[in-house]
Amino acid sequence: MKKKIVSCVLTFAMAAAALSGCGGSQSSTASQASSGAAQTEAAQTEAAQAETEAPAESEEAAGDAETITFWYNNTGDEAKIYEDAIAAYNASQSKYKVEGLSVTDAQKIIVAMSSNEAPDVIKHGNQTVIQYAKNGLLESIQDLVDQEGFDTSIYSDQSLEANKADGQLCALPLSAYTIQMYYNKTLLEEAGYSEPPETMEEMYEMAVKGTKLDADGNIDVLGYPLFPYASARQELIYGFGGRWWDENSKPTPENSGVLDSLNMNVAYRNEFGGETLNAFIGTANTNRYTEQDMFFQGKQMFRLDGSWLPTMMKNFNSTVDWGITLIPGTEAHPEYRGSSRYETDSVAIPAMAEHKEGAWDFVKWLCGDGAKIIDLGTGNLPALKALYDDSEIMAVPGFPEFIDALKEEKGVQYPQMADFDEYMNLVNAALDVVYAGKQTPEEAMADLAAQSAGLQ
Amino acid sequence: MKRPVMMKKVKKAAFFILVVLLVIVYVSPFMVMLLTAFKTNSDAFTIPVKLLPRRWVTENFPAAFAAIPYFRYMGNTIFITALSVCGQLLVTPIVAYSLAKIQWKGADIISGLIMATMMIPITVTMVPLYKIYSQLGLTNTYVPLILPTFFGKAFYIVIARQFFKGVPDSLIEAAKIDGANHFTCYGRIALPLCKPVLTTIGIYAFLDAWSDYLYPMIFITKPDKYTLSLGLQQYMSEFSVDWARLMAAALVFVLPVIVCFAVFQKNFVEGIATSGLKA
Amino acid sequence: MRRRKTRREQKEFLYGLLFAMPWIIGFLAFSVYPLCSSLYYSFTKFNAVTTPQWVGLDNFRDIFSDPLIWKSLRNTLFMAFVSTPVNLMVALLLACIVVKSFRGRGLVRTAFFLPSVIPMVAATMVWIWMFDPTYGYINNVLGFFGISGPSWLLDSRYTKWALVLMGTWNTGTTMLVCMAALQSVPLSYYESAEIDGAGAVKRFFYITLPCVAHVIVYQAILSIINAFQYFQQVYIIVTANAGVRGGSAAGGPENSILMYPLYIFHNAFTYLKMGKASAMAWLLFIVVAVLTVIMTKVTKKVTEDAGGE
Repeated sequence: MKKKIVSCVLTFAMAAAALSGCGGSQSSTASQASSGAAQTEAAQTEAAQAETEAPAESEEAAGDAETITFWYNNTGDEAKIYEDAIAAYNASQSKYKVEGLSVTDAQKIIVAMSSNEAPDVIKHGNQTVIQYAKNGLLESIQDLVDQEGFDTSIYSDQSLEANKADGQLCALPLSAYTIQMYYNKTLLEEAGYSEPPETMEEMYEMAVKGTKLDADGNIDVLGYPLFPYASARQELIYGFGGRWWDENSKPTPENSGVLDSLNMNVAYRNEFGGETLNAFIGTANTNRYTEQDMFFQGKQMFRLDGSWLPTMMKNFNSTVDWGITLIPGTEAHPEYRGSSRYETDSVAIPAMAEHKEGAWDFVKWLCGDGAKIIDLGTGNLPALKALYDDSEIMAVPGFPEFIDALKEEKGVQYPQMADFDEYMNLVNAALDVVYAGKQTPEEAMADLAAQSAGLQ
Repeated sequence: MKRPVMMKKVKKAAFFILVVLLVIVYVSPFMVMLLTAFKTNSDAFTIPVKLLPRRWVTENFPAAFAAIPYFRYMGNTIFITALSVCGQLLVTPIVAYSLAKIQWKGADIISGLIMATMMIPITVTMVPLYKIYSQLGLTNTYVPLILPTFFGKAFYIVIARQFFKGVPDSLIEAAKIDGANHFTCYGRIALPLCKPVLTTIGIYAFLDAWSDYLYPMIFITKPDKYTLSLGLQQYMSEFSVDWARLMAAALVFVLPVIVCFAVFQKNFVEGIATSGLKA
Repeated sequence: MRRRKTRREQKEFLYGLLFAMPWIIGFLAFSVYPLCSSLYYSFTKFNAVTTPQWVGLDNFRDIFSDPLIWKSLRNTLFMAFVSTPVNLMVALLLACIVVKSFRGRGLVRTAFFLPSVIPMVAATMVWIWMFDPTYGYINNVLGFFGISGPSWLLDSRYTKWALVLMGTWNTGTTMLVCMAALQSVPLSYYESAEIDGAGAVKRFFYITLPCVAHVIVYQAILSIINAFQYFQQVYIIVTANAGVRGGSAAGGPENSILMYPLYIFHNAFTYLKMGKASAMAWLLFIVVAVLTVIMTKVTKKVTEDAGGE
């Protein structure tokens, strides 16, 4: 009993000391200084409260652990994994108590982040996090790292790069995404091939042969990986060396790689009819990642998707015989093979967060000790280099192939655009126009270039 | 002699067929909701699509209630709805009384303004309201959803005003000669008279609050405070949607509305017919 | 005598004001203030956290050079001028049916009106499910008749028609108003026409329609105004389509159902351009205000032409 009281008082005293120290050293900008001061004040009153209350009622003092609110954008079973990780953190220390909440709607997060209801920690995709940072919604993680001398080299270079806005770290990477090509071995053999394609041209040939129609002329097996849309928009284009943006984050839709890839997509659409393909893709979209997922049901020959796919297939008892290979390059440029987006799940602290000290402590833990729980549970790849060789991680089906690809550090990074969402909306709409056969890729991309010229 | 009779019969049959077809079309979405709710998910996704479930199951209901905190959302929705209905019922007749039964210069101007506010697009006031509430720290509370109902809604005031106009002035004049002021007139005469119109307004207020989606979407951020509308929409936009479960959840959501409609159908029809025509 | 009357008037004025006060306060707080501040915001640049900064006419310049504004405006006009007449015709047809007396009329009326009271989220959800190209009931019914249905919500040629179709399901309110109007047509008109030997079609065009014209015009303009505020259905469809890491445009395929209010919403709460959103909202407000004035004028004129009511 006595021990507990002493430890509580000590904890609060330490917290107060740490906070006032932080308040003193933060003086680079006015806003930071003021927020630091506010924190110090809060900490002092808290410490004072602790002094008066702690001796009287130790139970209450123990329950006074600062509550840190943490919002993540996962749902269902994945949300449970996050709750597990949070429970592990809460058990590991007594200073803070993290409360997790699953919030998926981007608009909700934005609204909350700008009010005094702001969560203390958020987890989202890195491109969203960068956009928040560009709009001034986030606390600079760089400052916290610098102050403390936190060693960021435990993370892979590209995972750090993915979380920088204007050269400043704005979030810590939790886990990484990259995309590879899954193929259905049975379907490939039926089409007369034993090896997966290495170039886009080869893939196209196989896809046309592998596409099957039913009696009504509907698509039964989709050969060419037009679904998921997001991969058609990214990896199929990266494989041609195409990019939607340049190094300065300026839109470049008229890039020749983009045009080549789109022309190949259009050729495939013309071969089998846009409307029948739309019907297939529409249904595939509805069923994505459910038991009826087209790839799990053996109705897709190639599928560009993430590292979580094998785990899902196992859970749904899919009988499909699959393999993994790199995203194809082109005949002219075989070196483009294996190009894929590189994204991270990122953990950041909103500028309006109330408990920044605790938030930072939790962020460090989650992206350190907690990362393995998350990676294993959600089927995501590690950003921590130490986990590359972890035996449990390597035991996950598909992970060895993906981690080999990660080690190459060749991932395509998102641009640092404040107007990223707006640009992506325009890109998607332009692709719709191309797929509907209303414009040639050249025309549509020229229009897109004009439309997106003003974006930042 | 025979031909006109034949003609009449054919006409009648044609009318009958038309009505039956239209009714089928209008009812089919409800049937889809109902039937899908009792299918297994793989049943819902089998080709060829069968109208009736191959196997009737009820497991979607408990599954839907488990997938999202359904009863919590329902509790939130009931709470908001109850307070909103109270607010509307309290304020609407007072304002309507002022416009219909008190002879003052402002009545016409205010009536005109009330009609005008019905036309203000919600998107125009959205950003400023959001900004105020967020500055006051009231986002993620029910205040933005409930507070406005205590200041009267144009549509309801119009209905109530229309009703009061039908109440003879002589009733109120008589009371006034007896020395009653407007408070007594309102409390003793007008309010008891307007019970039927209050029922109508109450039903509309219930429906509005129960179905409201836009305001909760803008102002409520934390899932534990979601309303059913918002909770269902968020559930639908998640990654892999189980449609059978979703339909089960939707069915339970619309059931109170259907029951309310069945009971108060007459009030609905009257409310719309009077306000729609004269407004 | 005169003084007493004025005092009475004064008293009545105070009572009137007092009784109307709740609404007046609400009007100032929830309409006037937001309208004025929205006007101010439209000349500023700010996101959810920053304070508004005066930028003059930048937002308006931005709006007029943004191609998506015109696209969203075109989509909205489509809803206003295609969906509205379709809905009116359907509503009138339904009203003509339920105004007749036949057995089961009450049930039929219920069937037609019920969809209008169903919460928007639930109704839209069912329609999204029915529109599914493969498992949806609509395409399966069409398939039964040998028609292969389109991918309603995924093909930009059909997305807006899907909305029109959804809209016809929701015409109960208009139907009831039309029904009340039809009921108000004196029976004697029909009787004398029948004696003159006028057929059903003739009677409809020469008696019914002129008698209910003012109601229809009023409803038409009201529907057009509502079309300019068409938002919730498309928002629900678009978010349902998008998925979490989905690749759909924020306004449906090719932004074909990007309605003006939806674009305002995206600018405010997704792109964090609240100044631009306010400017867009004000343009919308002006359009709706003009339409409202037209509506009042036209309704007045039609009513007068119809012999006054």
